[in-house]
Amino acid sequence: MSTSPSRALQKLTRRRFLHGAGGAAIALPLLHSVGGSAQAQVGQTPERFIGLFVAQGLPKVITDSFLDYVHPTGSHPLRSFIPFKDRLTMVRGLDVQTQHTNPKTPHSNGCASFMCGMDCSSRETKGGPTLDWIFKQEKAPDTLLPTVNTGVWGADDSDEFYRIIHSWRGVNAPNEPTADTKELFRSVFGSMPNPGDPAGDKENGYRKSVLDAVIEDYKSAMSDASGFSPGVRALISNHLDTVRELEKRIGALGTTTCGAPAEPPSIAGSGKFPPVVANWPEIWDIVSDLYIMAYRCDLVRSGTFMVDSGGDKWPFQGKHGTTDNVHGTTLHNWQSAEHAPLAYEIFEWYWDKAGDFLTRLDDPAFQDANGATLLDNTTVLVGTELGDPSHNLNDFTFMLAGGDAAGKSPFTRGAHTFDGKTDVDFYNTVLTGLGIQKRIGETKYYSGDLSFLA
Amino acid sequence: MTTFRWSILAVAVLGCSESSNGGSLPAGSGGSGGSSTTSGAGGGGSATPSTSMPASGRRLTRDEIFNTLGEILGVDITPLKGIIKEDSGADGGFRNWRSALLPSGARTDGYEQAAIYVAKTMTTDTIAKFASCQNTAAPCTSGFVSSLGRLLYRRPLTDAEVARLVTLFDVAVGQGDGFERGARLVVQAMLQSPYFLYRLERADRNDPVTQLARVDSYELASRWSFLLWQSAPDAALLDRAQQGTLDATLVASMLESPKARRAARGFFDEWLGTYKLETKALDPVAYPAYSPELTKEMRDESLSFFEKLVVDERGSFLSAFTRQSSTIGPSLAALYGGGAVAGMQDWTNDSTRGGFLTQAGLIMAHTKVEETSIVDRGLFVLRSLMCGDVPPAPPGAAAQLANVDISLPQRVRFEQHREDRACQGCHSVFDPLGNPFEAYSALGQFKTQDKHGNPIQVSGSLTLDGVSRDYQNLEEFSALLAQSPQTESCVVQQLASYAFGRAIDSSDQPFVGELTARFQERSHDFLGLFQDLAVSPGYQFVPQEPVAAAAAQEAP
Repeated sequence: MSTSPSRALQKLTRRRFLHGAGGAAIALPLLHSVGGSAQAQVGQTPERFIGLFVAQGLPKVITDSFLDYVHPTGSHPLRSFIPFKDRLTMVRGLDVQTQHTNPKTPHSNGCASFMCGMDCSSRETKGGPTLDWIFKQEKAPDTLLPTVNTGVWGADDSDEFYRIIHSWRGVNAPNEPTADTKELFRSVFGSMPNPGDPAGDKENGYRKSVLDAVIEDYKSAMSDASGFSPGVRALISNHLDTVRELEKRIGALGTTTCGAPAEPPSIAGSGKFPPVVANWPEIWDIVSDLYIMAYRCDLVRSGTFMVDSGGDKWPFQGKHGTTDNVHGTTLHNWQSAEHAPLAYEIFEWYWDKAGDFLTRLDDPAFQDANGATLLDNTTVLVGTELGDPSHNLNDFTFMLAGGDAAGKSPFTRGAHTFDGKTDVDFYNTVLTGLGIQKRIGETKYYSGDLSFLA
Repeated sequence: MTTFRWSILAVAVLGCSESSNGGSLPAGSGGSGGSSTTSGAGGGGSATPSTSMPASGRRLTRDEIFNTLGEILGVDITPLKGIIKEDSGADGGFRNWRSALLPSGARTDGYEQAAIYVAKTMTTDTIAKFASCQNTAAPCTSGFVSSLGRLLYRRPLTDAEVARLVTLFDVAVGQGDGFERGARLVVQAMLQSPYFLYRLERADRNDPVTQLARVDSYELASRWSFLLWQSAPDAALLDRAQQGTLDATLVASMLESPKARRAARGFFDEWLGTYKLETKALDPVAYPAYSPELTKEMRDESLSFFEKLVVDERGSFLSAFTRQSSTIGPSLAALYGGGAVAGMQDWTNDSTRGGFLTQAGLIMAHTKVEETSIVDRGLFVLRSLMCGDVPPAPPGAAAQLANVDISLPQRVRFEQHREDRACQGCHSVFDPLGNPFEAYSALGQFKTQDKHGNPIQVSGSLTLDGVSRDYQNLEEFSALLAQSPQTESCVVQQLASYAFGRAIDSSDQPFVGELTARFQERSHDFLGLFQDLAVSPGYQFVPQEPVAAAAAQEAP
């Protein structure tokens, strides 16, 4: 079973961030104390949304019995979700119909469709905005960080951007995830205030003045007078959005009381191919804690988190053997007698990670203004890119966890099965449940909201 | 003999008072960069614009940024590798494709941090190079902005731009700092500007004859510089742009610069995929010979091999398939064995090496996590050497090698896999192209048996240009490729794609055909191909990038 939250927090505080420059120990705030400051800061409980991507598919045979399927070898893929059973909606039997003009594999189709449901003409961009971004626009437009995206993955097939990038503002407008622990820290806390440091304030003032000048350049490049092509100006406009967000963060320095921990080390292994899998447990601890700290501090209210990228290839050593390639050698053959024992153990590994993420979100040590956990105030959409690792794009299972703090979830808990319905139907039903009127995905794949709304 | 209509065209520049970003340049601001035009001088006939043009509005690649910063500002760019994200691989193409160079918040943050680092670490001597005086009065400040801005924005700045950036000196003074701090703030701003980060080209200067938008001389200088030098134009090149004297002779002289070596290596690094070796690592238990030093030597063997052939010797590019020498380091010599030692090696009497396809770096770059990789190596040959592709695997078609005895040779396992009709269509295309590499491990070591003790069979037949020919090993396979018009044309297409920053499609084929004919006339001189691309008609025109392909969409 995955790391318990308390253990993870202890590890985080005791070991993870303790190594500063030159190996000197640096005192750090506990996640608990960070949580406290966030609680004090946030008067109203924010609504939040996280898209949790879990790679390689989730076979129907596993979800047919909700969370209880146990393989004869003892692997229990969804065991880590059992603590959340009463706060979980499972939606089964959905099909992905998203089309590409030049698709590569069903992994590509599934990844492109995840939280988007738009057809694609390129493997370098999803066909439209993703659900997390629509949530951000509709429910949390003014957060200090527009979005945070991270996770642990191996970056195979990284030339297909949508396998790695699950949050998109629209066509050609990715919210790239950050794999490096140090880089993630800087993106979340890099602009945090340094109270009582006049030199720091002065430098940040300079940064803002510089960006003021830079923004004028962007405006001129986007203007009709620039003479640049509409497509180029649109690209510049996308870039300008991110510059404005950076300026906003710098401008907001000092407005939050949420203290930052010391900078973690950079650890090789995530986001590269081939990955250094041995480092993944440590990377997982750091990125998941940093990610959750960003929500506790109310720096951000929507984003994505990934447990590996679709079709990733990396070695795995388990109780039932070893494989040099979880994807091609083992999961592709998940139904064969020879490979199934290890394949189910790998499923368990993937979904344990997802369960661990929920567990960290549900840490009772942190209480929102309404006294609930972060998970209770967050809708977590859990999904994957395949119906099963045999490249099937049918019979997908999605889950919705959390978001119960208002007394009841907008979604009926338990398992629901639909025939002939699509992921686009599902995503739009989620939007409806969240009180968002905007629609997502290709209209031709949308037949109406599904009947799992409470 | 093919009449190549671009080769002898002079590229003259008409004087014009319009700056490249649309504002009228004031007298004395130095900008006379106007629309470039081709003339029919030399008897080559009028230049009919090809529809094949480079993508416009490309963001600079990480290497282009690093090279530019190193040359103009003299900073150590090593720390920036940890600050600016690596460029991502485009979809089956090059990392310099416009479609692969999308903006994102993570990159914007990195650019800001990089700009702060550069502004902080550039020396006072560097600042002095661009400042005729160092006080915070207008002539000094505007002079600094204009002088440095011309290099970083790759054109003269407009008055409005100068005025905007000069205000940063006022900011510094307001905080009790002086000229130097103001100058550093200006650098910090310029490095985050779209005019530095993107290769922006006006698309509204329509040629009266063709009705196509034409680049101005500064924009053309940038196109040439990033293609031929992998960095921004230097002051001398910008002077030529200002004077309106950009011509084919200049292109030839640019290829004499050491920076052209870097650009050539940059292309081969992308084309071969050897850049992947920088981050690629193998399990040291399974591969005791692996070390980071080894992969560095592998990459250098391949890049130096091509540098020597195409830059030093200006030899036939196609001989790279069969060339019997390369220079290797000590770790690689140990890996290759057979008496190989560090230094120049003659592989004539070694049937396991010879030609770039047998080099360990290329082989390792196209191996994923297994011992060998028929699919990945076959796809490299198909896509990068033959310019072919396959349709996607159909849904449900990937019970890959299921129920196949994994102790069988990989080649046999894939033969069985192809018996599945759903798999046959694609695998029958690329598997045979990957088979000849089976005698090389993930690390590129030659072997005669696989890990199960099966003898490795690499002989087969290769169908090229509609004719099937037999080969016995990878060397013979390479020789067949070298003789193929399909390969020849594909190499041209690959460089065109790299030079244009986009995929080559069917509408580009006439252009590729002409370029290939010219490549033949030049006896496959690869730098000549760079030159022909730079002076091709399409290189002077700006495509209308449609908004539909670039703009964010609202949800329906």
